Amino acid sequence: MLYSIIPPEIVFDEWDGAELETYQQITLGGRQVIIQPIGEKQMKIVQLISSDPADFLNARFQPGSVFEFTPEIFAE
Amino acid sequence: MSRDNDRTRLIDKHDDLVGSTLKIGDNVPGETPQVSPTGPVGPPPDTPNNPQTRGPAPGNPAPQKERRMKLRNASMAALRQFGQTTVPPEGPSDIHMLNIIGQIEGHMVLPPKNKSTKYEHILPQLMAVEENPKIKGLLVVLNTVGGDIEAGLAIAEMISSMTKPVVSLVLGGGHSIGVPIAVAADYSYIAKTASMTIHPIRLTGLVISVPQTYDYLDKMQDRVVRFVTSHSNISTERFKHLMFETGELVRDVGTVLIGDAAVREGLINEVGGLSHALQKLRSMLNQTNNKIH
Repeated sequence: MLYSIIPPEIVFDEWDGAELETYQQITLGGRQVIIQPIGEKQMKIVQLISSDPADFLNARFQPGSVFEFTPEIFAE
Repeated sequence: MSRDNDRTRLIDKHDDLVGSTLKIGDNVPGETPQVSPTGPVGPPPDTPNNPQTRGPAPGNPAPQKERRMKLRNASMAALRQFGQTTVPPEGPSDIHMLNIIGQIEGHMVLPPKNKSTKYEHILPQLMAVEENPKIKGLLVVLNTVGGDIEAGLAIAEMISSMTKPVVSLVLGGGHSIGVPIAVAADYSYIAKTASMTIHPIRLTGLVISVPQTYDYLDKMQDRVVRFVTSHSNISTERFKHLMFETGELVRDVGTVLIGDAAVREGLINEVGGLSHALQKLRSMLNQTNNKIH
């Protein structure tokens, strides 16, 4: 049940968010990030989810930063 | 000594992180060792072959030197790739920040066009902040249009029951269910231009198979009213009065409180910004330290 200043008809309005549907939430270097895959080998960071402000100074986690899917990342 | 250990652990952690960065750097064939370290943002001139230019490292010097070189190469790789500077990682901060933005998303997943803060992200983070001995305080920054009542109340209850100092800062807007979250902190700030909308909870007809009688809505509303009035200086009568005020909002009842109006009503402690909130948090940290020792 929503308690919001945004009317529910706007919140639940159907909208074709084709790009958003490719977003995935993964763990990268111990942080939760939302990524968008680029092809099969790379991903672009869309959003970093962290409460540590220092993480946001790390350029590697800036939105738009590109990582490669490597076995090492998943081995962690 | 324990501080040194922490530092080493930090570097270790960073090494893990930059592992992937090194990969990218290595992809440029034969270039890594030739990168000039004398760029405007580079580390002090130092080549891998001449480690003597650095002062003697404490502890076991060889692995540390190796790590430093790794770090340096990593930052050069980043420079090559993005053509921009990297901010050196300072290590974890002892004050953490929770950013509550857009809709507060609870039991129902909202359509993806809504910017939202999900309670499954926030609640574990609050727990982690409370449990981690290295984190001393929490800053909650709100810019929310409201959202799920139970998710909002859950976050508010978690914040208000934390032992570590929490300061909230309302920026832009802290509307509807954002109000209890803002007042849940030990001390609250609102930016001069920020606004808070207080309005009744109303029937939306969206929740299927929940008996949304008038009583039910009233009870839901009471939960919010009780939380807000018990965690701020506003009285129940006054809060409800603001909730049902006519003439403030077009086609609706309720009140918009902007900046110092929220302070005058007793909802928020003070008008301020980031520096005020952090200063307050630091002074609260000092007070708790003094109490312990």
